Amino acid sequence: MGRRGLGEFEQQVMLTILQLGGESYSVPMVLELEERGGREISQAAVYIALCRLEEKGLVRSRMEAASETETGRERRWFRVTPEGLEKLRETRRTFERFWEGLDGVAEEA
Amino acid sequence: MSGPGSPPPVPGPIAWALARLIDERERRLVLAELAELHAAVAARHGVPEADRRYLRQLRRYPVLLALRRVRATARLPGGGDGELRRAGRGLASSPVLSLTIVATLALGIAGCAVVFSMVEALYLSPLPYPDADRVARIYTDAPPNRFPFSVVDFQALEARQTSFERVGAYRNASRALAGDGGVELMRVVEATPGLLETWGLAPRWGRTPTRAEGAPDAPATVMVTAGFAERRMGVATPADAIGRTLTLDDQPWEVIGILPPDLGPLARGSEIVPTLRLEPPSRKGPFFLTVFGRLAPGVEPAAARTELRALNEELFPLWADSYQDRRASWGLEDVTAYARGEAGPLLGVLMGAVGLMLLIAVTNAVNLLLARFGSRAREMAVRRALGASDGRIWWHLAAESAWLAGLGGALGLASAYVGIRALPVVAGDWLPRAGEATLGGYTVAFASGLAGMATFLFAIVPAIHGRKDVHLGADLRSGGRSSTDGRSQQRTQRLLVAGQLAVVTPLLVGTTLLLASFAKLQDVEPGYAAEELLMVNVALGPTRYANGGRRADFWEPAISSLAAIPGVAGVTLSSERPPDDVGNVNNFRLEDRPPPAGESEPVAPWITVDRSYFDVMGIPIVEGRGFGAGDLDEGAPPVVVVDEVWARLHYPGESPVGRRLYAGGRTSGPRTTIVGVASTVPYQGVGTSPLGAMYEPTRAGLVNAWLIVRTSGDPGTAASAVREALRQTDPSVPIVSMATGASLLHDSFTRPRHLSLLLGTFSAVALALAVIGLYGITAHFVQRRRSDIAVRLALGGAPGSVIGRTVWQGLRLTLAGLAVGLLATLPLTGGLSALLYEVEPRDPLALAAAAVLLVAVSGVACLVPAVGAARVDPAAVLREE
Repeated sequence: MGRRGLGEFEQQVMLTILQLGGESYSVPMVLELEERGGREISQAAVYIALCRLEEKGLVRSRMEAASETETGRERRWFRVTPEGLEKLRETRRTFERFWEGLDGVAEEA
Repeated sequence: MSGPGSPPPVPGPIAWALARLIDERERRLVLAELAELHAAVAARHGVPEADRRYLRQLRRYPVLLALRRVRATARLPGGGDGELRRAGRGLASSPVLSLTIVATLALGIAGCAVVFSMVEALYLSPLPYPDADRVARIYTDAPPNRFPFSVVDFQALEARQTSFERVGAYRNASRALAGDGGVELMRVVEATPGLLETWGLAPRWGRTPTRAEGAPDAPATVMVTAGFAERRMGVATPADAIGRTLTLDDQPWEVIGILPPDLGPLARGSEIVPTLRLEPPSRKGPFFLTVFGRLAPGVEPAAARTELRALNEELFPLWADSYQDRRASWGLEDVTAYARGEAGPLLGVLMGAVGLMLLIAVTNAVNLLLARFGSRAREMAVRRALGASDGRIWWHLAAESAWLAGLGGALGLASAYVGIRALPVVAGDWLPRAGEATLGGYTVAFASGLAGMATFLFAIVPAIHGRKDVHLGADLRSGGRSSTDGRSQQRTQRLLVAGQLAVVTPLLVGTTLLLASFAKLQDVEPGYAAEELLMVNVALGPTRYANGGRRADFWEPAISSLAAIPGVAGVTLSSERPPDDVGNVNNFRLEDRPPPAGESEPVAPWITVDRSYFDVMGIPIVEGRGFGAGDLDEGAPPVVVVDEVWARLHYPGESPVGRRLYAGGRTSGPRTTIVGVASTVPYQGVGTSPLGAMYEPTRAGLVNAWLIVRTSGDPGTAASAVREALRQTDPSVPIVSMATGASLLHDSFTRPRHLSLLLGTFSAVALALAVIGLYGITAHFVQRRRSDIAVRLALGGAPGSVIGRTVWQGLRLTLAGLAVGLLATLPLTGGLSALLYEVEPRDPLALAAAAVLLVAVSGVACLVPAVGAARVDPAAVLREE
């Protein structure tokens, strides 16, 4: 699966990190994904997607110690790597090629 | 500890699974982030929603993490992935066989998982009370009975005990709740101050009652659940209900606390918790308080038990004039066991039945796989010739098994999920706490374990035969046929079929026993004319109809207005109703046979009836007289009528008429005279009347009673007229329930009916599977012997002898299985004895019936291929050879 394109959910997760200012941890991401997707999101799915993306080198994480957060609980912050950004762009270009000349269809409800 | 702000505790199975899937640091992080999400959701949607979502989110973790790990290992080096794919394709190429195996396995696993979910709910899940192992139920221990506390007992316990941090008590009651839509009777739990603290439950908002609010003259206070506040009190948030007033039984009750939505199994279904204000007692009884204590830190249950016994000793002499049972003391039991109730034996029987069914399904699948493996001997031989090792072939079998068991397990779990949802509907009224079962971690683990075991069995049996029978060369030369007929494989297949038939036997016997018992129960004469009766339960509020005279102001006009309805032949009133609703079991003291010193008085259901009761119900008076008008007069001497069972119990061989007794724990004062003996009617369920019954006459004093209407036609048609007549008598009095006598009698058989049906279904499926196995093996036998049979027929053998020989081949297996099965059944049926009525667990007739059924069905299964064998055209077969 390693060389294949990005899954839909993986794209959504990465885009959400970017939407949240380029760095985020899972809680705001779940809430944002729910807000934009209009359905309940499993935090476990987000967690696993992030692990997978990190293995592929598309996101990078750093830990924030419990003493530094306002809730007193540990957090792991994620950031999209340059490779990740490039992969997102590439995916979008691929899609756009497929959509080319289909504006009429796209406008339909 | 859960409370507002912090998420609920992580359920044991999930914690266990997480510990195995991710390391400590990751786990801490996951839980911290989930907790933060919980807080965010709580702020937006409230704590209950956040709790629900938290648990939902939590449950997803082990599933998704495990899936991820499986995917990772499926891609491991060594070609495992490819083998799995190849095995999948192989199975897909024989879809009927694969689907049969998957479906039967799924059925067995689903059945086991559904029953196990109840075991999990009752035995493995912690009660929703913090440190529930420190909570105990305290009861009056009069072996073999355990009964509640009296007010005297509870107040003494509360004042003197030192073993418990807190004690509290409740009683179940019904209260008329006034609302916009009229009056509705609600089940409530009346609790002393301290009960909620004892259970470890805290109100979400507001407070629990203070000690002072439990005093008899204290203002009336009440707690309600958050759900009740939102639905019934018209408030925006539950907290707004605090300080408002509920009207219960025409009296105002001030709401002081809002409870969590679910009070757990100790008070499930109740949403209103009025503060119990205990009147100072004048005598030791009655006993109606269910008492709980929370053990103080460092106090062991044994020490608490010792203290309870000592306190009871101290208390006994103070109340000896109204309570003489010296053997009774105070006992302590684990609250988990108390909450579990009486589901144990029933679950045992069900678990046994589904377990046997699963065993048959697995055996069946192994047998099918073995047959398939035999017919694939050539394929295996080719693979070996091409250099596949034993290990490789074994791995192929394991991969096939994993597919079958995995699919069967998954389908079984999915069916179990549906089955568990359906459980309260299907079994709610005969299996205690059926509604609490969920597809929890233990159940999933249990079902996965079963699937794992099936994988192992599926792989191991053919693998063993693979080694013995498949020899390179031999199979290629013989076109694979010699190994199809491999002797050891045949023997194993026959053994498996016989084993299945042996396992079916206890199921068939159990079903036969339950059916026989059910038939006997239905044949029992109820002792009253249940047809053409309409029974209406009505409850008066104690305030409006505060005393006997005022209650008569309702009952008398109600009876007259019902009697005036066209088609009504008679109306009467009773505090209890047959066949299975009695609330009042009272003690008494026979004047001429007092109990020996230090022993408790006898008890019997005590039924307060209008004097027309025996006539309207159609209960004959067999000796003496029924009640007359004079028995209701002011100052008339108290009288009772007893039933035949009572008479036999207390005056065997003598007449009880004219004897006298003290009612309800007294030893002096007016005596009650027995004036007649009525024929026996069950009040504690058809077929059980161990204590007999005593009737006393009344019209006025009843608060919650049954108006019993006899009609001259279908009683159902009178229902609306009855409802209207009661509404006109007093619209504020709620009708609790209304049913025809026939339907109440029918409903009292719900449990045996459902149990017979369920066990019958299991047995039918098991029997079908086993017999299909027998059919298969007999057909196989015929197939192999085609040429022998053809020769025999060609030489003039009679077709009848061919049929006979073939059937005997199969029936031998049945008889062997039956013999082993019956031997195994005898110790097992004892578990059923609690569920049987007038049928012995080893009833020879039931054993014989099960045996005959098994032999007959087996005979048919063997006969079909045997007849086919006798029709073989010898010439055609011999030409083929």
